[in-house]
Amino acid sequence: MDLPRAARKGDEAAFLQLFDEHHWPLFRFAYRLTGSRADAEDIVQECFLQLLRPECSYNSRRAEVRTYLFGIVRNQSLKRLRRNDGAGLSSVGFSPSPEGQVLRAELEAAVARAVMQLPETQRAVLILAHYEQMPLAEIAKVVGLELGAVKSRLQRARNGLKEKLAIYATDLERQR
Amino acid sequence: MNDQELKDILDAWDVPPVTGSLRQNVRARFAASLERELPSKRWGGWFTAKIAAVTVVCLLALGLFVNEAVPQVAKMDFLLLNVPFTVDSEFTRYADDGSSSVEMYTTSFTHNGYEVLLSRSFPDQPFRTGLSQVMDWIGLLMFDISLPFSKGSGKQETARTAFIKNGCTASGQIVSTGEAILGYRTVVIHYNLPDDPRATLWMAPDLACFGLKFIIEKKQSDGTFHLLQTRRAIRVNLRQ
Repeated sequence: MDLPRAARKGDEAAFLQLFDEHHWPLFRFAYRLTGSRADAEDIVQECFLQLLRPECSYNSRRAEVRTYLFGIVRNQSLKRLRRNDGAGLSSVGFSPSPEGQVLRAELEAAVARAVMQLPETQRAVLILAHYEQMPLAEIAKVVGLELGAVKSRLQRARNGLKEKLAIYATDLERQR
Repeated sequence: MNDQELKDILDAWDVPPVTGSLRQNVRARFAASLERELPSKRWGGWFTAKIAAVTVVCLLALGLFVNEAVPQVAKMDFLLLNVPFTVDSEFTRYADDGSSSVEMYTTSFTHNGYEVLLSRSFPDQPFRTGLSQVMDWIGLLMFDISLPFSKGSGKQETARTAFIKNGCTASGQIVSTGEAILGYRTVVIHYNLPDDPRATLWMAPDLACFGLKFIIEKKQSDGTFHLLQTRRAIRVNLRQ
């Protein structure tokens, strides 16, 4: 069943099925791109509503709906980051951790900062590859790059993070 | 640090849960979008929808009849405008994977620096084509009728004439010689559009600087350009 098509025709059940199937990975992606829960939720909402618009360019023969939705989330996140001029970085929020988890929370904040400091395309590629376990060919479609370019950006992102997060490797060992 | 250590460190970054209201909000906005899309539900149900459908079908039938009965060349004989030539163009859009599809064909002409649309057609979309041709024809008639009453800006016309006389260049613009298109020599100009795509336009000095080719490209992060859209002339129809 072509859910986006049914949703566009007004089928609420199809629309909600699409939402239920995809909203959580899309939210994770948006959150890790923007660093803001509120922005991520707005982006996810906007992403599903965009599927309903007459000018929506989604074509089920050209791409999976998941790939298309991830592409929208990326574009929307980019727009917000440009508008906020990197404000997302400071808005990465973490709830207070209980004693004993302080180190973990610190590490979490450091990872978030390091990932968010990556250049935008490297960041998107790394998040999709590492956190979403998306195949490289699909990542290439989401970010609009050739497969080779995706591989090189992923490698650069990993190398950059290894440098930035090197000091935490020993902390992680200590936590275990 | 090895790959496994990096993976373990990256896994330390968790994502908070979505708020419970997200699903409700999306659902509410879905319902609201339906309300906007289907005015018939708000304004009296099927009766309004039927009237609208009949009107559209009648307009379409009339448009198709006019379109079939009166050829484009003959249509222009009704106009007050002097149209020395028309150009048929093809618009193509390119996907991220490099595949392309023809979006639209147009026939248009130029008047005082403005491109005036004579007709459009959309491949495999007869309904949209029919409707567009009705709208284009009405738009053209309105434009033509309004001409005697429109006060043209003298400065604008002088600048336009100078632009054509100078071989499609204005002071300060850098142009280069382009390839001949359909037998017409062209000059090329590059400029940037909002959001940073690059546009390139091929204008024909012998056709009042009509744009015979236009491409829009987006710069990739590796410095190369990816083609987004093209428009190219496929025929120039000179009128007696």
